[in-house]
Amino acid sequence: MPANKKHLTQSGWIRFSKITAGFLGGFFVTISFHLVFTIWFDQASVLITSAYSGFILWAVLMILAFLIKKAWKVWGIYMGLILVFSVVIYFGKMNPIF
Amino acid sequence: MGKRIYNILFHLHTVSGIVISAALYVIFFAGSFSFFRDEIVNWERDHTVQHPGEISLDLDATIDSLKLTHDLYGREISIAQVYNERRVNVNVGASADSLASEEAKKPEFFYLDTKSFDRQEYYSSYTLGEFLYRLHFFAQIPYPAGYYLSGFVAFFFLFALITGLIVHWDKIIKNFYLFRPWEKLKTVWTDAHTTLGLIGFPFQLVYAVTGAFFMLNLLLVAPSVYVLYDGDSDKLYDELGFKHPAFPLQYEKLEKEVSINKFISQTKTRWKSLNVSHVIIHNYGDKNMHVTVEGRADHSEKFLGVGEVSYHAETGDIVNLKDEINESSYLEGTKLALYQLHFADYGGLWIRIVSFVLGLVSCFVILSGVLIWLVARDRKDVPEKQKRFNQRVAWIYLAICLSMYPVTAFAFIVVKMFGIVGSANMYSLYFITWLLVTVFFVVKKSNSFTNRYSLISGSILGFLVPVANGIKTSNWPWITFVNQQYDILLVDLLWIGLSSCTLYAVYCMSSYKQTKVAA
Repeated sequence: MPANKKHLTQSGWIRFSKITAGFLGGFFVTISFHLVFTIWFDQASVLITSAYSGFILWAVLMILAFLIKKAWKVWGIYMGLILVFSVVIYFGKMNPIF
Repeated sequence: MGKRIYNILFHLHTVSGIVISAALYVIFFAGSFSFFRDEIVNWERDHTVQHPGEISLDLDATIDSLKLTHDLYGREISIAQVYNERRVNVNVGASADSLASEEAKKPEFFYLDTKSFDRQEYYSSYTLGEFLYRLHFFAQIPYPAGYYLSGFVAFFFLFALITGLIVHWDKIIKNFYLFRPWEKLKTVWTDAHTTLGLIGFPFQLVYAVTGAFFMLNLLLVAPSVYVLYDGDSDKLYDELGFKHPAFPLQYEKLEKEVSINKFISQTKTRWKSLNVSHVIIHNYGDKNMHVTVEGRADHSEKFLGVGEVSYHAETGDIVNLKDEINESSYLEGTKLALYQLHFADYGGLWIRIVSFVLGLVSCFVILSGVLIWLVARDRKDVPEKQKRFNQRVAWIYLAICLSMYPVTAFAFIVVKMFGIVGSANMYSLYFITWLLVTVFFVVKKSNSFTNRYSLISGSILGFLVPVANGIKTSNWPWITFVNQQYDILLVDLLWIGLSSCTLYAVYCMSSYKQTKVAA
């Protein structure tokens, strides 16, 4: 049996919003999340780790984007995470002992 | 798991699966044969490789003969054994000497046969083995479109794997032993899809992740280059250890005779299990000439391990040493593991045979998924127009996918019988036959017909592959066995084994039909 439609997002726009949030938002959350670790760990090791952990995390974030009920919440959470990680990276780069 | 989450994940699994299905099938089918890429190439050329993974060439003699046709001063000469073929890759770089002749400023690449010493170039010596290998990442579609397409197929495959696993989670144990071939078709497909999908899951996960990495690594790395290396990607690749050391030209001729072979044997005494696969000669004939020798530990000794030594040519001093054989680092180990896990080249022949089987099992899982999708929508409440559309999609998908089997077997026969090489010939041979057979099956408009006759024709043609080889070269399996030409033997046996399996499947289908009718 195909999935029951009543549990799926009905509006095309909201669905589009969730897909882009999962794909683009998820991508940048993945990247920024991994970059945070370069502050404390060896850069090359973090990058080579992201070679496998990155794709798995990105896929999981794409799935989560559909499970959260409201599209704006997905955007909010992902943007928030990107912002927090970016701030940490910014100060981490300025001040290596951080 | 709540109903809402279950239905959402189910839908995500269905949609991502059906979108990538045909492309993923092509990747898995061609990819399975790619485990034996080198054997197929050697089978086509009738070659036997003595020392797999190692350059078996007198490099001093090679350089001497290269000198007759090339002005080598100040150039970088790289000799690499990339595949287990009889030939090596030779790359003669542009001269670093600004006063060098125009001729010496042009870089040159060719293959050198280590037995006949023939020089070959890429496109005119293109093989069916190479074709199938490159088909599995869509390299025939112009770069970079093909690479990105296959990369995203791998990535959405990962997405489908995770959602599929969660959807099936509650029934993993209960349904594992469930197989009801006597029920209606839908349960047959569902049981096969979930059970084989679960068995293949770890294998498929590894291939989805590593495959996405090979094709999409640029995407992942690009933002990091800007943040960490201020846009300097050279620095990144240097730090990741993808580059070999470089040395500047001193503009002074080297008087001393230098033996490259000596450096190779010196390196091999350092690591007993080393297979030397790459030698670079920097600044040939200059006072600052260096020789870099690189290789891998033999897989019977070690799972991961690369070693690289750079020598100053005149004094013989070691100027750079990378020893990942006695002690592996996380960085090099991970890099190597990503490749080895995908190529399955670390555990001898059996790992590749198991991977080949699991690859074809994945093909089955993909097609059963498509058929579940079709059958589940064949209900009274689905509009007639939608049903017809679904039916057509399934016809086309199955025709594209299943016709690969007879087309591949046919290509093996034709390549052998008519000695076909070269990329243009290979493209025409494979793609035109594939198109014709696909159109034929689509026009027939019957999934069971497509399934049955692709398997029957594939089996018959598959049995003819060793026959074609025997007629053309007299290398019958019993002869290659006695002569220890195992590469050639393996390809013949692979086809005999595969054909036997598919013929048996056809037999089972026929008897299944009869019991159905009798009941």
